[in-house]
Amino acid sequence: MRKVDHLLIGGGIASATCAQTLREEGAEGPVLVVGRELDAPYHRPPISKGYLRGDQTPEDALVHRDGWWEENGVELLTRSSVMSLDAGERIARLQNKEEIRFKTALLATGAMVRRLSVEGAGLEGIHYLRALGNADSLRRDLAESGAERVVCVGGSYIACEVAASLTELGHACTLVMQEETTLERGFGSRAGRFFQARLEERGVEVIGSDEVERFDGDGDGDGDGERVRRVITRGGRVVHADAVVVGVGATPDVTLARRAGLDIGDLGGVAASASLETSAPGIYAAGDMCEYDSVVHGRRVRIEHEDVAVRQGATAARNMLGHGEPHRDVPYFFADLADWASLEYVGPALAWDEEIVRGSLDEGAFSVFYLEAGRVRGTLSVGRPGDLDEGRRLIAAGAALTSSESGALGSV
Amino acid sequence: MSAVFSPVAEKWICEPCGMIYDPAEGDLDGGIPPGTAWVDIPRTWTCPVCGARKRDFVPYDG
Repeated sequence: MRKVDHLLIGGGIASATCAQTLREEGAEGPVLVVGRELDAPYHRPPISKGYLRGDQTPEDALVHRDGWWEENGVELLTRSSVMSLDAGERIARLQNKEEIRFKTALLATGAMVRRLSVEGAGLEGIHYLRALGNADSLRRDLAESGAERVVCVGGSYIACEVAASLTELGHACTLVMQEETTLERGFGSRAGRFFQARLEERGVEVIGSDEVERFDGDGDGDGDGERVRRVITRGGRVVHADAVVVGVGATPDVTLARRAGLDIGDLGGVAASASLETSAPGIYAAGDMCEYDSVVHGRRVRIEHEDVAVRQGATAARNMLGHGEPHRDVPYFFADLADWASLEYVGPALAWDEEIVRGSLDEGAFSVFYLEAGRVRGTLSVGRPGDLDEGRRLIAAGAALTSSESGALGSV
Repeated sequence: MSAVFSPVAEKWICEPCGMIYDPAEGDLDGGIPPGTAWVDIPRTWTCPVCGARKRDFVPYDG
């Protein structure tokens, strides 16, 4: 049986960062990364942004350049899945039946797209975005079918970013979303209206407070299959569509963790301690499926964003080497609506009762501090990146602000 | 004939994301019960991980 010091399960950025940190922190023994992806770990954010627009190549998206893995003595096994895990004996069994004994392991199996199960969801021309290859398929389909009108389903990052990217490529885009205003679930309706206005002024049609009831096809079931032509909403709207991109969220991939008997959290992720250790000693979690006791938030959180996966991968690596430190980073997010608007955010605020605005929404340079009972829980910034550090500090401190302190937040 | 070469045991891999379809597992969320051979999956089925189409899968011999 093969033996490694550290087995990193998952072929995404959390494992890539974990491997890098292990080496930087002086780990000298064998490190093995096992991922199902066909390619080396790559950045996912470009999938709905520059890569989709054709501004970036697959090589641009790589986390570590070609050669890094060999130079750092990290073995990368692509096209391979860990099928089962004996958490007590610390043995993993791969798809090819090979068994690996490990001292510590990282579980970073990511998330899976949420598939729509409405009538017509299997029609040709309906796409999801999770991997670079999905963006390739989407662009190829749009070109080959001559699609003009694209309906993006969802009101959060992916659908908004895709609507902006495809508008830049010359398509006429419509957003159909449950939200009244784009991005309002994370940032509230005031900031949401700002982002929606940026989309609408470039010609994106936004249909809010509605959702997809079914997709209708063109009635041509021959050849390559019937293609989507209309989106029918619950509100009774009929939206013409030559193609559809669905971005309605993701669910953590805990298949392996569940099979291994690890505790699963209320948010659907793998339950982990403040130091990101799962219920099985020596096995850590990072990334989209990591639901950890956050010392910053004072509660369990699970966050699907690249920077969080990066930093959790690094924390997990240090703890795999025995540091025993809690994960203290304040989660950071970013999104781009083409080059029309870019947002950065630290938080996340689950609930808030006060928004304090600094700067000017009209001028497109502002920050919003989200407070719950006088405590800053989140900070959004558009064009004022310097405010994020202040937000981070206030979120980490967790102290209730006096009225003069909170008043000063908006008047800088 | 060994079970490995039986169509019922044949595994397929999603080219965009690497998800491996194993007939023994099926895809319950996608309406595919365990034991379903690849040939019996409808063409409208999508990958549970990335949403790719059935035609984006290739045979997997791992």
